[in-house]
Amino acid sequence: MWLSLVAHAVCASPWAYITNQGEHTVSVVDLAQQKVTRTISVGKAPVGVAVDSVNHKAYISNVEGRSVSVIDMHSQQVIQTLDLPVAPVGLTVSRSGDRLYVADWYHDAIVILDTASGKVLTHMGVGKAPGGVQLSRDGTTLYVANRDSNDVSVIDTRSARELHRIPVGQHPFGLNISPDGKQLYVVNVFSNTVSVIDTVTDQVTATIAVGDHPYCVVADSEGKRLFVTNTGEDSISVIDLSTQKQIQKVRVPGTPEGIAFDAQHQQVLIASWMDNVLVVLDARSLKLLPAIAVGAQPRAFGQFIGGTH
Amino acid sequence: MKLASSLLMVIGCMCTPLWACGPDPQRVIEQVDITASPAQVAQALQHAEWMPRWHPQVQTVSIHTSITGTAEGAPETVRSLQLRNGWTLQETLRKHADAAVLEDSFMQGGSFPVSQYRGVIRLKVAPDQQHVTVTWTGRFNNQANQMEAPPGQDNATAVAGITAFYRSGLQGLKVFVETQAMASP
Repeated sequence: MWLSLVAHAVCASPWAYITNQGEHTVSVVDLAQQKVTRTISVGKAPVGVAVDSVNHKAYISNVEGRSVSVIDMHSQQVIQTLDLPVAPVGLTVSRSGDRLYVADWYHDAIVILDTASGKVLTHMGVGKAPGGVQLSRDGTTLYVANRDSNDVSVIDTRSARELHRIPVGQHPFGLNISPDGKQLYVVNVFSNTVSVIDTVTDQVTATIAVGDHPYCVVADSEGKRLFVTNTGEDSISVIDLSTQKQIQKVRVPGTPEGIAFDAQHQQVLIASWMDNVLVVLDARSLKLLPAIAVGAQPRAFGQFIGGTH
Repeated sequence: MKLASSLLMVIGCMCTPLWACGPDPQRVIEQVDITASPAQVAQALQHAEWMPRWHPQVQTVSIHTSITGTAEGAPETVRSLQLRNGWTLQETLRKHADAAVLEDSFMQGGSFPVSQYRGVIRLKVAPDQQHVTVTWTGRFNNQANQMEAPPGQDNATAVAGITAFYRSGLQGLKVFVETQAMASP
């Protein structure tokens, strides 16, 4: 999201890249116009998104296609497909755009790619069934949610070594980091909680109750509130970070999955998988705005907002 | 939910499934239009013990309450279905914040060829209040919970199983509500 925030400060028209699992496409949503301006064919069953607003590329993980599609954000076309011997889920890109980190769910590993050449630099073991990935603000640490080992891997990106693992709740999946980088938020799907981790001590400092089967989390641009998608009950939990408590639940269309914060418009965007829409939530009033129709079974796992300079 | 008290019983343990949700969930959406009032459709669904009367695949149903299945330890309702083809399905029945949702279930166990299954039945009422559209949506993984699952436990089997279950069930519900079958003992 750091990249997204930078992009929001300098670009007029950010986009959301929404992976449509059911039709193997990505919907490109112009967030100023609040409509889909392009639908791009990618690999089979796309899930994850990472946006590099510096080099104007969006990376899409195709879990069944076992590949990563690279979209040029100027032409809004796929310019490269990286075939991988893995099942990619979550992915994120370094600040400069030179490295791509991809979670390999079925081999309990993280793949580090050189984005210029598309070559795999490292294939390193982490915990079981890694899903979400998140870089620290300075890019030196990669956090990986290991769903089946109930912990978060902490990886030094310079040495590509796993430093340690932080135990969290049952089945961690989505991750996000605070705007100041001091807190990491981890969604625990089976515990119905969010773990708050101090990124200096790498200790869990709070565990916050949310709704049923939560998947993904995002902080607002001021670091005051968290928004969590509850897939099992079709709602968004809104959390006040000063009290670390849920202050409201907002009912949304079916099976909300991916979530991101549009800092420019102060809106929360949520992909509702069952109803094929991108839900738009006003971050201040917590009122729903008109939803945007996207493709079939949208997931948008990761920080899916970015723009061009 | 109004339940026949004679069917209520406490079971000792309804174990949480140990499998994890896979990265490739499947979806089925089926719907039917029924010429009836919303109250009539709601009545049919709220009587969980009536399910064998309207769903042609369901042979028997039993309803239990479990006090161990939820994190808070609060009682929850569990429905156990025995299908005519031998499959079984145990589901927790939950309350949904949307009043239009008449049923929201989550799989706890059974041999139905899916995993991590959630089913939602939603009602949409026509302006004249005499017609309703009932939509049954399912999200689930294949039974093996693998991308390259063996035959019989794969996505195709899971989608076919849920699709047939929903289609025959909704057609059965339509006949049950629109004819006098519901009124008969």
